[in-house]
Amino acid sequence: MAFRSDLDALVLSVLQAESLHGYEIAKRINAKGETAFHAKEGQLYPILHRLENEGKIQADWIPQEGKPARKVYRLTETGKGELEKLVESWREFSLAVDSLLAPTKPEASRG
Amino acid sequence: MDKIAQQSPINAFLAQSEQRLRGRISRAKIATTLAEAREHLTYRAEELMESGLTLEAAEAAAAEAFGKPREWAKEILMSENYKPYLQAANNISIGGFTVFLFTAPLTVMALADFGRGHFDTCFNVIQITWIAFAIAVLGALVARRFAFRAFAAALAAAIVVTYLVVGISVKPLGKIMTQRIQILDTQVTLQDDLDRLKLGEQVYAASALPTLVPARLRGPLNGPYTDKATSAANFIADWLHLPEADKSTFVSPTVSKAPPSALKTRFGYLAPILRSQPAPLGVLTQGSLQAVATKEIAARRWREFGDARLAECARGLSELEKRPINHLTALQTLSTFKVGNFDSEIAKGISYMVFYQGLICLAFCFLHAMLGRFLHRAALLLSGQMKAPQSPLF
Repeated sequence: MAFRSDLDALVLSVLQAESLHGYEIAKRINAKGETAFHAKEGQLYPILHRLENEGKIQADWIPQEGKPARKVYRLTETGKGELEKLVESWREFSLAVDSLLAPTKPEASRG
Repeated sequence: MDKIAQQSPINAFLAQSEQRLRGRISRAKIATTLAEAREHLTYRAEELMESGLTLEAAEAAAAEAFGKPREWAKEILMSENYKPYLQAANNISIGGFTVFLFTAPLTVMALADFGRGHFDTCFNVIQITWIAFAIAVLGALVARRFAFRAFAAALAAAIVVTYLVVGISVKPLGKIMTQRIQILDTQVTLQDDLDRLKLGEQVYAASALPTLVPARLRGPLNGPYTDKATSAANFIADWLHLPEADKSTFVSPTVSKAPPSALKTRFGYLAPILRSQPAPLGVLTQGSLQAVATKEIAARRWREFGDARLAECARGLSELEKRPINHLTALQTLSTFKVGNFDSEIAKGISYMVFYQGLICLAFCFLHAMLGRFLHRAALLLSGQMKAPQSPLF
């Protein structure tokens, strides 16, 4: 189970290192153990299109020999900024959850 | 459907998706989106075949993992409409449609006031309704990028609404336009009558009659009236001995500067009578100037003429009230109405009114959309869905 902001973060983080096409993005995310796209792989494309419309990623059509051109996505400056925000937000959330879940020492009995 | 069933699973998925997307986004966008999906499905199927599945089984598994065509197409459509200006257009469209829904019932009530002569309110309500509907349709078309299906749907909606509104309003509108034409005809006839009466007065001036011609009859002819129609109407009002209160309903010295509806209202019910019964001065003189040579005869004929006009007016009013105006007669009236019959002042007034009301309505729709958005966000905040937890990827 994942939420929209999670999926945005996943896609942006995968594109952080290099430009990739849709199928490769799905594979990379799945390879990290994230099950976001296992149930519906097609869910990735509406996210990619939306992020593209928002200017967070940019798509380029790369010609291939003997095959149709391939759409490859890359992160934009806006997307990098957005990813930083999402990472920071997640870290804060994670710290908060960790502090809550950390085992606490039982209080000493007052006799 | 059978054709799709005979295709490979991947082709079947793409064909069904295309059906869902066709007409809603541009063809180029559909082509690139489906090409991307095909590439994904093909790669996935190849991987599955390497693991031992047959081609058909691999394609079926790949298509199944990709999702259902209907849901996928829906998500694609949503992602395409996410651009800020499309979202704004959509919000404005929703706002416009909401305003339309609110004002449409008011239109029906306003139309009922036509018969009572409350034209200004009625026109305002109708215009706001139409403008709100136009904004809703235009916003919807922009939000869907003028895709064929959206255009067809908007056209169908416009036809239905037009039919409903025109179906309701054609009768009172037809009545108004009929009266308007009658008024224009009457203005010409009245001028003829006035010219004849003027002539008659000059003729009588040579005899002993002028002392018996009442001052009220001479006044309007020489008075400082703004135009012929007012002069004529004033003349008739005086002649009929109308009380001041009634007189003011159809006589106005500023008639040429009055709003369009005022002109229609003030001359509306008197016009058809005067048009149909011009009562030329020939009736008075009986074609012979010599016949009114004496004071007694002249005085009697003036009275008879006045009585006859009074009776004609009463008969005409009654006739107008009973006059059946249905869709057919209204359409006949509309078909004979010439653009040149509109006063330039009327056209200008209507143009300004539509323009300003359009701006106000647009602003109102925008504010309404913003309010809806604010309420939606507030509802999300209250239900705790505004900030969803995020995934443990980093």
